[in-house]
Amino acid sequence: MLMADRLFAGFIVILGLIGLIGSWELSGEALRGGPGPGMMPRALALILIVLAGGYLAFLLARPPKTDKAFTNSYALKRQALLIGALSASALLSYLVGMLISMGLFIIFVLGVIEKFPWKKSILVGVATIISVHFIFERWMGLQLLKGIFF
Amino acid sequence: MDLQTLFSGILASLEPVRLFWGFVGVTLGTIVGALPGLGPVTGIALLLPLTFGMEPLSGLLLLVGIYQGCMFGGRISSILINVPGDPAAVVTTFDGYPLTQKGRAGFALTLSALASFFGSIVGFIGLAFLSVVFSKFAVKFGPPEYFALMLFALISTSGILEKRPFKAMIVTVLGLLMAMMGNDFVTGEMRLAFDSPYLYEGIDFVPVTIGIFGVSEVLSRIGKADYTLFKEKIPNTDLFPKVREVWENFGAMVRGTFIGFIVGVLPGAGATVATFLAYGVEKKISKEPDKFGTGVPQGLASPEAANNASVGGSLVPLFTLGIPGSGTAAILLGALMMMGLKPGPLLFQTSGDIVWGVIGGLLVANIMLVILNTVFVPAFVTMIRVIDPYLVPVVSALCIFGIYVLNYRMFEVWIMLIFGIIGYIMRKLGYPLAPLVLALILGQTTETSLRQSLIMSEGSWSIFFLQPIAAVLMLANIAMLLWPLIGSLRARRNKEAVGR
Repeated sequence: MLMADRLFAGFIVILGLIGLIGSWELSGEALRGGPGPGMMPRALALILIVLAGGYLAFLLARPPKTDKAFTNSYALKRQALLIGALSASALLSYLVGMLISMGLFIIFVLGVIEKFPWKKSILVGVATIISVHFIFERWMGLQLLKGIFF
Repeated sequence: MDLQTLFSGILASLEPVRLFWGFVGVTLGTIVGALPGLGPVTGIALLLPLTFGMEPLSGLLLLVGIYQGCMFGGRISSILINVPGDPAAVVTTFDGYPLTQKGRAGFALTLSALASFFGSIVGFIGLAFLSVVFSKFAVKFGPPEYFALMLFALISTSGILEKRPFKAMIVTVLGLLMAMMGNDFVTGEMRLAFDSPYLYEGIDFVPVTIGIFGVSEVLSRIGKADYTLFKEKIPNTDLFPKVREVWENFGAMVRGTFIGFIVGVLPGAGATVATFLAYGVEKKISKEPDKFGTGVPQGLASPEAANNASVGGSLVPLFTLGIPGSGTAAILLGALMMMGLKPGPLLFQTSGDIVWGVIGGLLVANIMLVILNTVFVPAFVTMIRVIDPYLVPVVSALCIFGIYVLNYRMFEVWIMLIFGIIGYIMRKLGYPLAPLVLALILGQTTETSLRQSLIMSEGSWSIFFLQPIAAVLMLANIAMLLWPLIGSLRARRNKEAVGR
């Protein structure tokens, strides 16, 4: 857990640095003695760097320990597959539309990751997108992202 | 106000056509509220066109029904699948979902429905009888009072008063920094947008909330070989709480209702703040605060009562001053104006029959909702048991659909996915999730009220101690921050005394 903890604390320090750099050119003071647009972001970015940096320093000072938080390769593989499938279907939405891409996503997750029978996976995928089409598009009148088909 | 006007309002809302629209409103509201990402603001905005051409009272009953129904519905997905239907239902996941994991989903659903009903009814009574008093109190809240209140909410609920506050502090500051992104309200300057037009309006808290709670929950579920919740059939006797259990949580409901109504009355504070405050107070006064988050019924009853009491509260400044108490009330304000009503001090005189009809309709809507949400508990539990094995992909897809329709942009979907991964890592590393969302929600109001106060006082911080309400809240904030310090000093002194 130590390495993951260190990396995440480092990531937050970087976010703080980005915030500090981004707010550097903003004015710290406004009219009539009030604080300007840069005061709060700059102050918060500095506090974040100090807090997360302090925590990182504390972690670095501790002796190295086996990382236990992300060692389950079975879980990591399934999670990576899910994130990959979600991202791919979000990208695919631009091309084939949201309903079809999400239908494919459901079928993929159930069939490939969860190892459900393909018939069942397709049935759940199709039933979900038909329900979504009726609830979101027909009943509520919302427009989901369209692609080349729908 | 005399009781006769209230009764005539209730009778007006009981006419068959109006009753029908009220029923349609609460049913649609419950469904919309249960869908991730779609809250009362979206629900009312979407169904507003349906009221065009409708008789005003029927139209308003439909909208108020949706508002109240969403508040009830948001808790269903929070309790059953750990995905909040809307930001106000985030707190419901803290103890609601652990109850489901313990096989007490039916109990959690019924208890929260009863707490919601209690909160709504007291909110209704407050709206009917105390509107004028509370609206006078609400107008006394200027920028210094708001800043002190926001600080109070952040300190008391973000977890920075816990035994190990370091990670909570980091997450709170990160949330506040994220809230600074976008257009500055005073100078119009762009802040932390990095020339991206997507960031001109900052980061919306809804995709962050759904990502950090919903997507991270999905990721944590898929990491397990068998994640089905309902391995055994829940006995029917365990679907409903016993009278003794309801009574044990009655105090929590009263406290939550009080907080919810007061916060609801304050313009801009909203139901989310109310729920976090109610949970924080409940945890603080509990004899076993460490058990919160493991399925403590009080941690569920209090925020649910607060959530629903805030509805009645938010309608007080809307009806009496024409000031919306929440985002949803702002849309209702638009609806009232479209129907030819003029919200403000004269509303009760010029359109009293319609306003009292709406207030009466609120009572009727709540009775319908409590019936819907208790009688159908076995149906909800059965439904979730049937779809449990397919929840991971279906919930992921629903989150994407719900977030996309917020602004019709894929940008928010990507934000949700990124925060889903961040949320999962935070869970694994022991960072609390709620403070990030709370700070993101409250950040802008906190900064706005701070800057407005300092502009008013020409840079003097004494403004926060010169106004009575602000001073009381600021002193409470200081006391809260100092209390753990005093406690640890006392403990050390006692230890030394024992050592001697």
